[in-house]
Amino acid sequence: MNAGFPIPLQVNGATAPLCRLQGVTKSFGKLVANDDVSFSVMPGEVVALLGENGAGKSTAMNVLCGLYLPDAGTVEVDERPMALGSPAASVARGIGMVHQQFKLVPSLTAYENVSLAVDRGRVWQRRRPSDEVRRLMAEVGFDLDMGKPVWRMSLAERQQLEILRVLAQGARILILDEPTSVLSPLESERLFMLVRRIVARGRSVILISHKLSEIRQVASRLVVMRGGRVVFEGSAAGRSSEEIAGLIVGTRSVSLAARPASAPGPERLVVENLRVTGHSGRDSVHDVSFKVRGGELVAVVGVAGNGQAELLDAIGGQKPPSAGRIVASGSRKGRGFAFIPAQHLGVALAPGLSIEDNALLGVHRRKPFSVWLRRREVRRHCGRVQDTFGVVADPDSAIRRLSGGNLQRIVLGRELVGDPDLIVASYPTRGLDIAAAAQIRNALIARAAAGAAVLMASEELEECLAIATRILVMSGGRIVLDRATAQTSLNEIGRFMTAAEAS
Amino acid sequence: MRVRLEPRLTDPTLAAYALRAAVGGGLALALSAGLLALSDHPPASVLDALVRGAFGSWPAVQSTLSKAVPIGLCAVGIALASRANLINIGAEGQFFFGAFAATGIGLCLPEDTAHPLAVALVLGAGLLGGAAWAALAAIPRAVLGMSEILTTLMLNYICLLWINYLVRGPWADPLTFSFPYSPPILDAGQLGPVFGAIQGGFPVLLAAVALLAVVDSGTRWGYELRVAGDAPEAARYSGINAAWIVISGLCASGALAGLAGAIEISATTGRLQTGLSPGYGFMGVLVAWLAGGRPLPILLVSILYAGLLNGGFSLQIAHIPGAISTVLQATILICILGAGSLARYRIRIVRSTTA
Repeated sequence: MNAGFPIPLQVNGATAPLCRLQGVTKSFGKLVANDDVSFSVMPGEVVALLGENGAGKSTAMNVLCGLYLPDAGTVEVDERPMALGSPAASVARGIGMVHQQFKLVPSLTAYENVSLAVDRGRVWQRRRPSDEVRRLMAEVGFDLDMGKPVWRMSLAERQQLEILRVLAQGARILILDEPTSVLSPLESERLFMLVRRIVARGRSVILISHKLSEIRQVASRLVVMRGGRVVFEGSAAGRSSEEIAGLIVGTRSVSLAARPASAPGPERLVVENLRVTGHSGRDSVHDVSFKVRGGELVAVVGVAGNGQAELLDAIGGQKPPSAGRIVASGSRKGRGFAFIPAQHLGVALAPGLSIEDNALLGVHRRKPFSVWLRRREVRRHCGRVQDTFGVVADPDSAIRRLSGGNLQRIVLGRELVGDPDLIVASYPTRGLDIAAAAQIRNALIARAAAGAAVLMASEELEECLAIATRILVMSGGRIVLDRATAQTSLNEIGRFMTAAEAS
Repeated sequence: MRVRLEPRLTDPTLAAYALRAAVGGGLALALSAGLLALSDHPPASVLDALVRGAFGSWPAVQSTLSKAVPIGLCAVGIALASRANLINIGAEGQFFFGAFAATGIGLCLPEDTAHPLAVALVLGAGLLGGAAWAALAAIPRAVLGMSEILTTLMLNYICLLWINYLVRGPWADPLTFSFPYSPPILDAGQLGPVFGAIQGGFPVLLAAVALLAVVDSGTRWGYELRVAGDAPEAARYSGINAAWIVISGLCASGALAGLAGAIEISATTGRLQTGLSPGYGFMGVLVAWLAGGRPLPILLVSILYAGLLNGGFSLQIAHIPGAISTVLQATILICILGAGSLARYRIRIVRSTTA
């Protein structure tokens, strides 16, 4: 497309880019993760970096941050070349990244975390924020209690702190990697206000996100990557979500199957007066009761941290409930009950083992296998798991080398083998690209249509409205709304989600 | 210009392993030669004497293969526990407790017991003894989460003192005067040599190495050990009983060390004595690490280590301090481990792009 032509850009009257990647190429073995990647970031703009999982976004950003040394290409900041492959050089030139996994020390206070990053050379830490940090907080409008230890902060507060920390280090190009995946809609709004104030003074933001509505809301320009190349670079103004989705997935069409028609079958999951005690001693799930029947696809939604994750973990057997009763058809050890936890590596998958070993996890005590694991049977089983969602990879290679989308495909493929009657999935599409998310939604719809009971937690309300037959809204650890999807609306759900917060 | 280490994204191949062993070995040789020259021993003749003592003649090879048996069995056990991320430093204690149990049976059995039965009972007692001693560390680890690294290490000292007490007190042989020996076990319980003078336990070592390979690739238990070792949360998620994995893994590890002790009693000394092991259990830790826990390399490295041990003895006969052999062992270990770590990285030379 127009990647090869330098287009004159003009944002806020400036013509010189703050930062420019030129011909960046990086390969890992045979895989070319970045192939001649070039784009620039003007001062004061929000660039949305888009692409499916494995399109090369993370590689490009890791080159920018100095974590990877590219095989070829240059990076210029303020039209002067930057030393590559050195994180310190990138920080010194004003590049800062907020990763999905925050790099904060939980036992230290907010200020101590900032101080750790800024005053690293000082022997004695200052007890209170320095003038520069306070000026920065006022300028951008951070609303943070700097004396609070990080472990007591919500995810949204931690994210603000992480952004403040990176800005305090002198970052002028702020990279946000899927920042809203841990936020509620309201918190996302606040984040975008923060982003607008950050760019107002000539800083720039590179936003990596899969949520098209957000991108249309906040980004001024789009850079789309596919297969390691930049396939589109241009203004975001006036582009519809469909158009952007088309750019991301290319020619492949993405369509959702129809929501399962609600013909309620037998009860497959009964939860009665369930109570789960959180790590702070307070109840994170409070006296929750509901039932899921065969043929239903029930979505649990709520603002992050209102008990949805804990509820699903308790049902999946990851967290013992402190009171109440869970009756499930089938057991996790036997057949019939599939549980997909929110975290893949380390919980649903053993990161150090091969794909084949992971395809066997939890299934290894079931029928075709005995105390002897026959190689041929294991191989055949792994093939079935990989084929369910089309993961093409050597079964002997390490699982941690797979992309996030493929990890989820392996977990779901494994859990859905044997046609379980009950599927409990915690955030099954979190962080997935459009095509992968659609594939997984369609699989859940298909299982429900075939008579299985499906319970899923999700943070994307539009997804839930599109595929769920019933929606449970959680707030303050309780179910505050339990309604068939056809009888509710986005507005009503939003009102119930935030009702407890407002009071 | 600067040199950078970048982590490799692909697993090292077999050739890479061989290369790193060769590079590490070569480096070890060069360093040892330097050390020998510094201490006024001609490097060439010392190394010559060492290799000759280890592999220079058929009797030397036989003796080396015999010594490889206890080292290798301990190493296989340690490698097995390491699958579940359990660090067993207590092979020495388990070795001696196995030897104690084997001697106990060997002293109790009536003299007219059939030979195969007696050998089986003596070796079986060794297996159980080693497992029991390991259980002393395994159960607190499984129930209370006490570090098995510390408990297995400390249990070594307890067991060594127990053996010392036995052979000087209740089990002291009145016929050997002041030597700390027990009386000999029954003749029928003694394992004869194979292929000439190779210790009868050598086929057992081969079987143990093969067993490790089978456990790794073809059993549910071996699979569960690996999952529990790699990701305890994932083990819980998939319904693996963590306590059972800890207890079975450490006890099996101890059983192999105990078997090594019983074989030494049955095939080498015929009686319990404090000098039964020059530290086979500790050498087993080194061998398991050097071999990266893989079955075939464990066999090869334990033979190499036994060779160093034997070569050290022949150095002493030639009036060169036997400590030289210990120094060489340490040098080889450090060099090969260093080369192994480097094999996971790629060395790149970077030209600085800007000032």
